[in-house]
Amino acid sequence: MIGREMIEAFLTAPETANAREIEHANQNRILYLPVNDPQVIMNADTPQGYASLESKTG
Amino acid sequence: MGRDKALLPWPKDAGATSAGGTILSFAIKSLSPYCDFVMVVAGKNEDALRPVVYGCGASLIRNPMPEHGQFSSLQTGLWEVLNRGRDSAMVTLVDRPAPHAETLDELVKAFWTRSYGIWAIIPEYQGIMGIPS
Repeated sequence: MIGREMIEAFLTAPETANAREIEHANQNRILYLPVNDPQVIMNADTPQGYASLESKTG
Repeated sequence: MGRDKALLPWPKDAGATSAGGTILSFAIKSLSPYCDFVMVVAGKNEDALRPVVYGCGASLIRNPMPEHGQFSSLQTGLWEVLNRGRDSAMVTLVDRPAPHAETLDELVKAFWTRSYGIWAIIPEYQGIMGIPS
């Protein structure tokens, strides 16, 4: 979840930037919340990633 | 993968049937209770996503320059957030199944009780950060 300040940080970043760079530049303004939910780090961007979703979420 | 990742069946064991859905439909339905509205930013896949997006009650936003990459889609969506008079957002990827409801509850609570100077809440699982890392 992002607030107004973070939205503005993303919107004022140059076209060549990426979300990771903006996040890292503002790490002291971000709360990293530990959760017991592996789905927050999963993705299906590759066939292997999609396949792994099944094995990890049952 | 030969098909749009947002339209892959989810939950996988249900298949893309009336009993199941897709990663995208699952995400829209999961996030809707926590948001005033859900917007999906599409690029060249707009036509493929449209039935699912509208069928689930979300809005479809077209990134006019998808060739500029994923970050341009994020910016397109965030401009729309501001244009609609909102100043906060939940952001996720279309190729990522939505978190469990309990996780969303935790995120929302942490966001609305955050300290001054905290601009964002990012979940992490076993030390691994969620998006955008």
